[in-house]
Parts: sequence; C-alpha cells; structure tokens
Amino acid sequence: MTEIHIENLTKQYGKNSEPAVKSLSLTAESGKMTVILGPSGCGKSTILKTIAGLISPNRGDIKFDKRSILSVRPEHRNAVMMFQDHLLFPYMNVGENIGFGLKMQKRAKGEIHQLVLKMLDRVQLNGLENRKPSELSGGQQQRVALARALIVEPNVLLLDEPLSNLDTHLRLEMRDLIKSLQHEMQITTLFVTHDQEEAVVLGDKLALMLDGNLRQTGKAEDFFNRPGDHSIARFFGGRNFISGISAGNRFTSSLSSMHLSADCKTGNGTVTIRPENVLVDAPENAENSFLAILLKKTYLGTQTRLYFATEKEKFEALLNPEKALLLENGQEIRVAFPKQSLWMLT
Amino acid sequence: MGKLGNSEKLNGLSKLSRLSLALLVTWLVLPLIPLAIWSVSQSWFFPDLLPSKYSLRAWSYALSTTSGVPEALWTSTVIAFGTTILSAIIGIPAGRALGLYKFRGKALIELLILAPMIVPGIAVVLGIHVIFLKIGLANSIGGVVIVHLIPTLPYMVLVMAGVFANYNPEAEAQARSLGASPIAVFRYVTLPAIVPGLIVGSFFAFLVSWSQYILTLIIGGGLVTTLPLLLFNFATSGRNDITGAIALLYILPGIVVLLLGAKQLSARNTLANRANQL
Repeated sequence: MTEIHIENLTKQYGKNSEPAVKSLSLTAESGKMTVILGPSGCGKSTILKTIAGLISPNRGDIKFDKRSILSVRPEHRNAVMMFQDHLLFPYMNVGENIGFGLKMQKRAKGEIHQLVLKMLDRVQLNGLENRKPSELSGGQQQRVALARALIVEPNVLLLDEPLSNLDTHLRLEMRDLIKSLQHEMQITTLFVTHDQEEAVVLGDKLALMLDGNLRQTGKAEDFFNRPGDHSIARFFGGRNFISGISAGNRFTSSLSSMHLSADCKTGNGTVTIRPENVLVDAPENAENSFLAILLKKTYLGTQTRLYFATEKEKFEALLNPEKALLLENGQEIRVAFPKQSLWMLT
Repeated sequence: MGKLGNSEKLNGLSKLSRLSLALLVTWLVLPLIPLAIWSVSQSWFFPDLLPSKYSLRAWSYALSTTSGVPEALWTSTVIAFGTTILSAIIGIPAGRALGLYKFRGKALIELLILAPMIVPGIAVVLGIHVIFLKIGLANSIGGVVIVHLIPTLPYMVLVMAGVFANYNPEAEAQARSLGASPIAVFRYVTLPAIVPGLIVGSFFAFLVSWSQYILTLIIGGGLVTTLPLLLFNFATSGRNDITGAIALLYILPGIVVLLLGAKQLSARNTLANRANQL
C-alpha cells in the first residue's frame, strides 16, 4: 500500500520548449485507481515516466508514503510501468516474459515457475507459457504485459494508455480485467488515457490535464455535473453555455429569467446544462421553460441530438430517438432547463 | 527442408542471374587454383600447363617454426581479435547514437566516420607514426591494434547504426521499471536484439584487420610481423611455392567467415520471413 504525492512537478524537455508538465501537484490514494485524463500530447506520459524514474523532473518532488523517491534508482522503486505498446521481450517465451521481474529479484527458478503459472491463470492464458510473443494475438500480448507487471506485486502500477492499440471488444475485456485485478490486489495505480469513457469507468478518482496543467480532480460525476470551467465542461461533452446576469438564485439571460438551485455571486456569468438534462416538450407551467425552434436532428443510435435556436442563443439537447421522431424540424417547442441541472461556471 | 528450398530457389533464377552467379564463382575461385597448385609443386616452368614434379616441401616449410608463419599467424589472430573487440566496444554505443538519436552535426559525424573508407590509410598513418613514436605505441602490438581501428570502425559503426535504427529503446525502460539494473538490461534486452548485427560487424572488422598491410608495416616498424607482411616478403623473393602455401593459410579465415556469415544471413532471412507471415 503506497500513497503517491506529486508536488509541484515541472518537466521541460528542451531549454526553449514549452514545459510538458507545469508545476503539477496530485495525490494518488493508496490502493486506489487514479486516472489522468487528457488529450494526446498534454504531458500525461511524462508524469508516469518521472514516477517510474525513467526521466527526472526539472523541479518538484515525488513521494511514496511521504518519502521522496527522486534519488532512488528506477529498478529499486518497485513502480512498474506498462506502455501502450506491449513491449514484450521477443527472444523470451511467454513464461520467461512474465517471470522477468522475479528473475531480476534473483528468486529461485521453481518459485518463479509456480508464480508464473498462477499469474497465467489470473489473466486467463493457461497453457500459453511456452509460446513466443509473436505467436500471440494483440489482446493476448497485452495480457502477458499486464501479468508481467503484476507478478512483482509492485507498490505502484503505472499504466500508459494500455488499451489504445486494441480493438473495441478486446479493449472492454481488458479494461474489466485491469479493473478487477487492480481491485483484488489493491495496488495504487495511475492510469493515463485520452478516452473519457475509459476514465469514467476505471477511475476511483479522475484528474483532468490540459496543456501540462492539472485542471480539475475529483469523482467522475463532478466533471459532468460540476465542471470547473468552460474548457473542462467542453472536454466532458458540455455543449450549452448561456451567458447572462446572476443575482441571488436568479439568472437572467436572453432565454428567460431562470431559478438556480443555489445562490451565486452577483454579476455577469455563464451557466451550463448538459444536453441530456434538457427537458424537451416540457409542460406549459414548467419552471425555467421557454419556447425554442428545432433546427436539426441527428440520429446517434441510442439517442438523437437536437439543435435548438432562439432569437439570440443556440443550444443542444439529447432525446430518446422514439420521442424525437414526433418532433419536426422548424417546429416551435417548449423547452425547460431544470434548476437542479443548471451549473454556474466560475 | 532447407536444401529443397535452396534448389527450388536456384531453379527459379533467371538466365541473367545464373550467368552472373557463374561469373562471380569463377572470379572468386579461379585465382585460387594456381596458388593451390604452386603450393604443392616442386618444379613448374613456363610453357607447361601443370608442374612436372609435385612435393609437399613448401607446406612443411611454411608450417615449421623457421619460416615464422605459425608465429605470424598467432600475431595476426591476436591483433584481429583485439581490433574486433575494441571495434565492438566503440561501435555499439556509436552506432546507437547514430541509429537512435537526432542531434546537431550528425551528418558531419557520419561523414567523418566514413572518411577512412575514402581517404587512403597511408595518408594519415605517417602522421600517426610520429605521435606513436613519441608516446611509445610504435613497434608494439597495442599500437597496431589501435591503428587498425581506423579502417575497421566504419564497418562496425555503420552496421550497428543500421541495427539500432530498427530498435525500440522503450523495451529498456520497460525492463528497468521491472527491476532490471542497467547491466541486466544490456544482457537480457539490448544484447539479444543486436547480436545478429554485432556478428556481421565483427566479421567485417576481423577480416579488415586481418588484411591490413601498410598500417601494420609502418606502425609495427617491422617488429610486429603479421601474416600479410610475411606473405609479401616471400612473394617478392620469388618463392612461388611457399607464397602459395601461405596465401592459402591467409585466406582461410575469410572462407570460414564466408561460410558462417552465409549461415547467419540466411538465419536472419528466415526470421524476416516468419515476421512477414504474421
């Protein structure tokens, strides 16, 4: 059980280049899975590599259980990293690959063999011990890589987009396997991904990273319902941003004067509401309701996206496709923004 | 299966490639025939197609200690092995730098490494000799080994650069995070990946060192006698029978390397085929 503290971490690759990570602080709770979410090239992998000791930071500190590990050599940190590419050693068979970490610890051959067999069973690869990595499918290779990382029972598991190279159904299978093994073994895990769904499903805690900065940390629901700012809301699929003036629990915009669920600062501001929370075809007397014209419908499979416009604002809503069939483009429809779904951006 | 595959391949060759194969074999093998005959001849005079008398006295002389051949063979072997090992020690990191990384002045460095293949050795070795005299490296095997690095390093470095151009260094990072020390990483991850190229580069380095004449002559100052030096002495003194015997001994490592190298290269081909099938 290890708690990771990252304190004011800064990493700059070239002297004149923009830092990949800027003064970042983050805590990964012991035995939990913390997911760092962000677009490609935002510096996520850099964080993992500094924790693993593969690169050293320019400034800041990394602590395992309050002890700085910056001076500890990578092979002694017991922080195992798993990459997007499985990176299996091609000259070793599956068993030798999985047992590599134990061999480095100079464990007895018989003991290694026993543990490898146990691990193979856990990742459902029984009987493939003597295969070469090149004889396995992509999903099997990635499971061998996971087994190789887990067998040393690391203090810290660092996963760098391990699912990105897999096909959809394999990705879901592997995702569930990682989640269940991590939960079972209670390993403090940092998981890096650009996939929002992956982050939401896997993460006990999420950390959103944009341009080398940590923008918000918390539970998945916080990011959907209480985003910190405009760009965070957008990253999580927020599309509706309505500007106006707030006073107490009232918000006045060109749409209508709306009730908020809590008091806010007085002044200019922006409220947001998730498309799936917009109430379409609302009753006449519904709170925060107004009329809008339906511009366009886009069928998404499980939902239909509706594009609305009023004189001055545009917004979107998501609706059950069967209900959406009853609506016509160009029709004037009553729409409501339920006050518990409105979130004031700071 | 290998033999069958080869004969099938041979049948598949076009007429042009059969012709060039025949020419190549002729050019390589034909010059060796007179050498072989000389080495066992006792008297062989101009208009005769073959010697009138045969004997093994050239061979018994060449293999005796009085000829100096066994000693020269030993000296040549020591120097060639030493040069090969040093070439590998320098060539692996240099090839890694050139194959894996981009840096300023890389093109210039590549040109400098290639330079010994373009600039004749005699142009630089005279200057080196002066320096070696001052620092006491002249007339010694060590000095000869160092100067042999000039022609061998380009081969080793270029072969290793090619190997590292297709190498993923993240595998090393992976091994370290699994608890491997830098030495263990080299032993279990890097070395297995570069061994095929290292063998080819070593063959080149060994043969290039083995066949050096001018560099050995000047830096060795006549005190370090390798096989080519001895061969040249006998060739200029007109003893064709002994020259033939020594020349055959001289090309022996070349033939061994050719056979081993062919095996190595074909093994690589089958690996590549297997990879393509996947």
